[in-house]
This record gives sequence, structure tokens and C-alpha cells, in this order.
Amino acid sequence: MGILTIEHLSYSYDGRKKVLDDINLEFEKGKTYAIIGKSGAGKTTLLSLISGLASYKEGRILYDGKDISKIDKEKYRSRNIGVIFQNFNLLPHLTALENVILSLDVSELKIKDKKKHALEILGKVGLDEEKAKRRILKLSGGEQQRVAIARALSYDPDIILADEPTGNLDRETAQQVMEIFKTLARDYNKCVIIVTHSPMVSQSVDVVYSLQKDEKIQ
Amino acid sequence: MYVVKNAWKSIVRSKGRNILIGIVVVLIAVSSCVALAIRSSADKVVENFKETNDITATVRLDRMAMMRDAQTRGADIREALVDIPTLTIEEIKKYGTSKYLKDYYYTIEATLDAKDIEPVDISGWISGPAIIRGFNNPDRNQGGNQEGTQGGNQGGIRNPFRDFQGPVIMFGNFRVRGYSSTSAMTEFVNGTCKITEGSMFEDGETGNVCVITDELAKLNDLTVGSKITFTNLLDETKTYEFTVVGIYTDTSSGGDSRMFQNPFSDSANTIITNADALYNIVREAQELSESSGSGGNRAFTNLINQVTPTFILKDPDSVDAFREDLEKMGLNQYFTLETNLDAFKESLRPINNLTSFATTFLLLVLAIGSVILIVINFINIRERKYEIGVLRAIGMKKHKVALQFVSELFIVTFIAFIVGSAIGSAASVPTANFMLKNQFNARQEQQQRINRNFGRFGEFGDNRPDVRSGSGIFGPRFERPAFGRFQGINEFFGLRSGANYITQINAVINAEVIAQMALIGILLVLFSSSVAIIFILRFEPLKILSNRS
Repeated sequence: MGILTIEHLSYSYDGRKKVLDDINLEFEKGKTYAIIGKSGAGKTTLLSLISGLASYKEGRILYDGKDISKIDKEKYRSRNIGVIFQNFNLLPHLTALENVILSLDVSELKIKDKKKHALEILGKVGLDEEKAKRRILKLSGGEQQRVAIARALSYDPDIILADEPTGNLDRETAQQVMEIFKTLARDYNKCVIIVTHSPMVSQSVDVVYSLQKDEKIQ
Repeated sequence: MYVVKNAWKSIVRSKGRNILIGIVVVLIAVSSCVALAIRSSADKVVENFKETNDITATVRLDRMAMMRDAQTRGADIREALVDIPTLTIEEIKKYGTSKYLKDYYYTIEATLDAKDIEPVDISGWISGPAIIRGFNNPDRNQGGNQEGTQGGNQGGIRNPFRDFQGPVIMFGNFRVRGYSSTSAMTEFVNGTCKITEGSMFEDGETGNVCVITDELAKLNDLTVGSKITFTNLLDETKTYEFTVVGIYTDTSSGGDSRMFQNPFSDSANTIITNADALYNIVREAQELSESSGSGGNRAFTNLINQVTPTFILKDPDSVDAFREDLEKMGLNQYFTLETNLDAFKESLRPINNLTSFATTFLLLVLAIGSVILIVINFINIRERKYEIGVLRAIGMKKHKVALQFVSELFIVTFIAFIVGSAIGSAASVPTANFMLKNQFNARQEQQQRINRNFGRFGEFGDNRPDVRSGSGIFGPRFERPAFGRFQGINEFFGLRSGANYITQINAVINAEVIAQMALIGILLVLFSSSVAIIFILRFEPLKILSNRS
């Protein structure tokens, strides 16, 4: 059984037309996944449901065998799953380092030196201390993306969930970011799920799920 | 902990907004501090007033009630007024046991003759015992109801029954007043009478000592230490020797009193003694009266006003309860309870108005301040919606997000309240100090005046060596007059030996005010952030972030 299993998941915003209809997917640790589909196919909705930001009524999403609708969602979001939003959702008044430390604070994990730990994580995604101490608005889009990844990784979650992580990046930076994701899956045994339109991303992941066909493509 | 840390960071980051909140809170704090300080000061004045001013009550005969009753019964109204019910000392002592009383005292009046001194008598009438025939003489002339006969100055009448039929009332040349406490000597308290030689006898004195007027002393060459021998009107062989311990001047004595036909009506012939000493004489006179005749053939010395009690109540609210208590204890239906409650309440009116004004002002400031803070917080929350969405998206619980916002407001409020309280205390202290100082000075002057009236110069003057000074719990300096043996008189005006007179302002901003300020601050934070909390609890992170996207 994978770290994350989606069983017969259906979802509609207005109670009539279903955005997601009987979705069944499975995700394992150590692999990278891409969820593709046309606009309005429900990719972001699925990401919201997996991350616990939205609640479902039909079907189940199991994290490590437990239905996420029945567990503490805040704790789940702050410890088990790292979400990288399309627009990063970083706090602009804080520095890169403070954003990562804040995430560590929220997770309430017992880490002796949070600053040191945060700097290490930022280093792993390619941000040195000087950049780590810059405010978010003083960083480029790619650097902000890295901060978002670092924040998602800071509390060592099993699942990394990324919504169009390369959508705002140039090709070179996008490739660098994808390398980070692959490293996370391969070297750190993370389950990386990427919601994307990008053919480049879908070609570089281990598994691609298409929401239109509800099937594994590769 | 990180919540507070984030709150602090947020405060530092948004200086402009927090300075604005701070200014509003400072204004609220200053206003609250001034209002609370005034309230506190006023409360202290009221408390001091209540502690030092007594609710006094006395029972008085309701003649109108007697007359109405007689009319209802078809009896002669004038005859009904002859049998006036009187209060005895025993009854007063019984009423004095009421649980609603703090203290009580009484006065007795009688007229007596004296062997060895002459009364001041410039009326032209020949002094001597006066005899008035009573109404219930069975043989009286229907056309007249009173017959006054002035006796000679032979020294009294030994057998009044020989000359008159029916009860007779005998008057001596001297009006003797017996006080159970110096508190009852209102003429000395208010300064109408002043000791010029010697001093007033002490409370609790039961011996045969007296204080006489300067006119009487001069006429008879009496000085402090001289003896006066009173005689019983019904039996002049019974004598009572009194020692003069003080001589006083009565500034109220004028021509009016000289218009009375009898010397005892002249205030110059008023002799003051203690109630016990006089009561002993009166009791003997009553016994003689009862044993010397029966029915219509009785004579007795007149006790003008007889016994007048003064009851000091513990609590202004217990007047009605005390009245009921008196009725239960058997107070005659023709007696009514009269108190100084109205005057007492009237005295407190200005200070109560001040308290009321301060309270209204405080409530107004809090209401307006709260509304302003709510608006600022509401705008603040709407501006920081995105931040809330992010915090919730990374897994921060709703209550922690709310706690962070409340913490921010609390920190700003706390700092602003300290600043505001400092400014407020500086602004309010002079006002309250002025009020307190005036209050203290007035009381001090009153105290000194009373002591002067009693001939106790230097006992409680300025710079008394035995004035004990000290600090209160919250630092006020107070002066405690050591009244010592003059407690009784001082208690008349409530100037008790245990009273603390605040002479400095330190007590105005005391722990109570600080606690109230803290409570106001906390309530203000909770109330003004309540809207923010409601919004935070209702915000859905996904919606916020989607909208931003």
C-alpha cells in the first residue's frame, strides 16, 4: 500500500456538476508523480483535497492508511505533507529564513537550532545565507520557488505536493527545480506529487496521472 | 511561544498601524486613569465621610399624634397633654442594646436649688422656687388651667401639699444639665459655649462635678475647685455637694433669656454635670414625690425635656430596621424616630455627583475607544487576510492565529496603557490631591475649633508632637491624630482616634486603580479583538489564497 491512496473520490463545488468523479489513485514514497489534465479538470481541487485545505464528502483519501478527513488536518499539513503553491504563498514581510523557521514553529517539532536547520534546508535548495536573510520580495521568482520548497521540506514530510511549480519559472530554473524534486524522491524517499501542465515536468517524473482518463499514463 | 514572537515581529513590522492603535489606547488610558483616580479619590472621601460622620437618631414625642388621638377618643386635648409619656434612662439603655447601633448617649435636665449660691437674676423677679399647679386638680377653676405662684426667696417650700391641691410641679433656680457623654454637648462642639477656665470633665465621669457659666461664677465668687451644694426641692435637708471643674462662657446668652420669669430660664444659671450625678438627684426627688402624696396631691420636680437620647447608627441603611427594633422593644406609640439621614445624604451629594460624572465619562471614553479600536482591528484583519490564509495553509491552528492577533493588540495596549497611566496619574493627582487636601484641612480646622471650645488648647494643634505619621499600603502619607482622652468629643464629629487622614496624593493611583486599569485594558483588547477573532475563525484558507491567486 502506498503512502497516499485515493479511493473513489468525487467532488463538486455546487453539489451538481462533479469536478472530480470517482478518482482512484495511489502514490508511493521514493517516486515523483505528475497529475495532468486540461484546465478545469480538477487538478488544483485534487491538490486542495489531498493537502486537507478542502473537505470531501464522497470517497476517501488515505494517508498512511488513515482517512485524512478524520485526522487533525492542521497537524497533517504541518508535519506530513509539504505544499508548494503555484504562487508560493510566502509571507512577504518575512525573510526567506524566517518563512522557513515559521513553518518549523508551526510544526512544533522539537528541533534544537531551528535557524541552523532552516539554513541547511535553504542551502539544499540552492539558497545561501545571504539570500536566506533577504525579504521575500527581494528574491527572484525562482528563488521564491526555492524558499517555498525549503519551507515544505523543513519539517521533513513524507509527501511533497507542488502546484504548477515551474509555471512561473524560466526553462533553466524549472529544470533546476525539477532536479530538486527528483533528488527529494530518490535520495530522501519522499513522495513528490506535482500538479502541472508542463510537458517537461510530465516527462521527467516517474508516474503521470491524467485526470481526464483517471489512468496512469506512464 | 512562537505566537508571541511572531506577534512582536508583526508589531515592529507595522509601526504605523500600531502607533495609531497605541495613540488611541493612550488616550483611553489617560481618560480612564483620570476618571478612575477621581472615582477612587471620591470614594475615599465618601468612605472617610461615612467612617467619620455618624447617622444619629433621637426619639421625640409626637404631640400632634397625642392630640389627634385625644380628639378621636373625645378627651380634652389639654388634659391629654398633661400625661405626657416620658422616656426613662432604663428604656434608653434598653434601646441602646439594638444591634443596629454603634453607640448612644443621652442628656437629662432638671431644675435645682443651691444653698450657697445666688442665681443670676436680672429680671426683677424675686428668685425662689416656682410652683405650677397641674391640670388634673379636681377642684380647679374651669376657666383657668394654670396657676403660677412665685415663692419668696426663703430657700424653698417644705410642704407644698399644705398650700395646693392637686399635683404641683416645682422649679428650682438653676437649670442643671446632665450629659452621659461629652459628644452630646453640642453647644461646645459647635462653639456656642467655650471653657474659659479649668476644663470639661471627662467621658465616663460619674462624680459630683460640674461646669458653670462665667456670669454665675463671677456673681458668687466661684472658681475652679469651689463647691456648690444643691438641695432637693422636696426636702431641703437632702443636699448634694458638687465641685466646679470648669467655667465656661456662653456666647449665645443674650437679652432673650432674660425675658423669662424664672431664673432657671436664664442661660447664665445653667450648670453642666454628668448624667449619672444628676440622675441620682432626680431619682431621689422622684422617690420623695411618690412617697409624699397620692392621687391629686403629689408634688414633683420638673424634668424639662426629661431625658433626650441620641442613638448613633452603624449604617445609614439601617434606620428603618432600627425603628422596627424600637417598636419591638416597646417604644411608646407617641414617640417618633428622627434622624439626620437626609442631611447626611445631602452632604454626600456633591461628591456622589462627582463620582457619577467620572463614571459616565469613563464609560463614554471606553465605548468610543472600543468602537475606534474595533474599526482599526477590522481594517487590520482585512488587510492581513492573506497572512492569515498562509498561516492556516501551513498548518497553524485557528486559535493560534487568533491568539497571535490578540497578542499583538495586547502588547500594544499594554505598552500604551503604561504610558497612558503615567500621563493620567500625573494629570489626575493634582486634582484629587486638591480635593483631599481641602477635605483634610477642613476637618483639621474643625477638630482644632472643637478642642478650643472645650478649652483643650494645644491638644490637637498643628505640629502636634504625638501625631503619628506613616505610609499606607500604596504609599500615601497619612496623619493619625492621637485623640487620647478626648475620643468622646471627637467622635461627635466622627474624628475618631483610628481615622487616617490622607494628606498626600499617592493613594489616588493605588493598586485598586491599577487593577481596574488592567481589567479595562484586558477587556478592551478582548472586546476590540473579538471581531478579529470571529473573522479569523470564519476565514477559510483555501478561499483566501484562491482569491489572491
